[in-house]
Amino acid sequence: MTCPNLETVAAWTLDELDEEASNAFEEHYFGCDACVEQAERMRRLVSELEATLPAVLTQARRKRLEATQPRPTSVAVRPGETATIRLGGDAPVGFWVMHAPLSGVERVDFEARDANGAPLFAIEDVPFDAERGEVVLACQVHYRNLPGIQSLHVSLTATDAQGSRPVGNYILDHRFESP
Amino acid sequence: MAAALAFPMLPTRSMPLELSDAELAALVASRETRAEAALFARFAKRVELYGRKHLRSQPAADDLVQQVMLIVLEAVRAGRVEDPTKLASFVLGTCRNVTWDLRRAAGRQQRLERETAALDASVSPPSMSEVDVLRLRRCMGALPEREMTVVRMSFLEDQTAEEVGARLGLSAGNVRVIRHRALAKLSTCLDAKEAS
Repeated sequence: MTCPNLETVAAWTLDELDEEASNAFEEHYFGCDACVEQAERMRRLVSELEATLPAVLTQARRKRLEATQPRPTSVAVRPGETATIRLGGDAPVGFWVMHAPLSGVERVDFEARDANGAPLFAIEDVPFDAERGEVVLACQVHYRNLPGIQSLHVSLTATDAQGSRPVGNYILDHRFESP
Repeated sequence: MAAALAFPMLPTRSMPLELSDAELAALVASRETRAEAALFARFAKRVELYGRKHLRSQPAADDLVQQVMLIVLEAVRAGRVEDPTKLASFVLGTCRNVTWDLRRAAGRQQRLERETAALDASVSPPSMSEVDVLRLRRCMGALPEREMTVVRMSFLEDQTAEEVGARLGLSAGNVRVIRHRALAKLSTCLDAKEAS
């Protein structure tokens, strides 16, 4: 067997190869240094992805994060408001709870601009809690060097059966303590 | 819990790593201690990878390494490996047998360990370094839109292939294929960034 491609290594790592293909890969990598190295890198990549905090959190991820120590800082903000979060020192991770009228909404899109209105990043179809009317944005102390982060101008757009409409604009100010 | 390390970790500098499996087995059979350390170095990582995938916890994978390598070492010392040129297959076969025994005999204990490991992981704050996080984010940013969305929903938002498929209008099988392709690209991108 020649060395399998990286997609096969990924499928094996995620346990998504059928039994025959999985056995064949294992027979191969037990005798192949290069494939052991690839499989180890892939396992590390999957662990890193699973440990990475997404920009917008699901409620399940938020609960898990709230169980960590030190407890992350959280700041609630309503449409049209400006608020400040402080990170650094004992608070390496925090999150914004952006409130918006989301009842009956099927999809929410997120867009962030800097203080001058220049687009920074946009994420389509983000997780949200329709019942509580919340979108949760994570922030970490190492975002301190991201351009425009000091004053993030966020807008949320909701889509339902009637179409798309803006449901909230927020100004999220970040203050970082010196490392 | 992982058993205490039971193998001699002597320097292997004078034990050439390019020895074939059969040559290494012959040296172990002749009670060459450094050959035992070289045998461990050659196969322990492979067994650990197998354990991580099939037993889904690091402590269980560590146990597997200890048990498998002891069995292999004793078999090689006693000349019980029928065809030493197929030592890798012998180690893999031992891995499969021990994994099966571990699952059968300690199913409940393993479940507990897995649950504990999952709980430990879930209450740990993000532990990656700033450099790692930024490197990973840059590589994710270079993925085509749909692959990035599938990776985000699958790994960062913990959605199953079925859930991601329902959101994106794809079959679960399609989502898996896109996910494998995206992981392959990310791995290549990270390798390149590490090397540069």
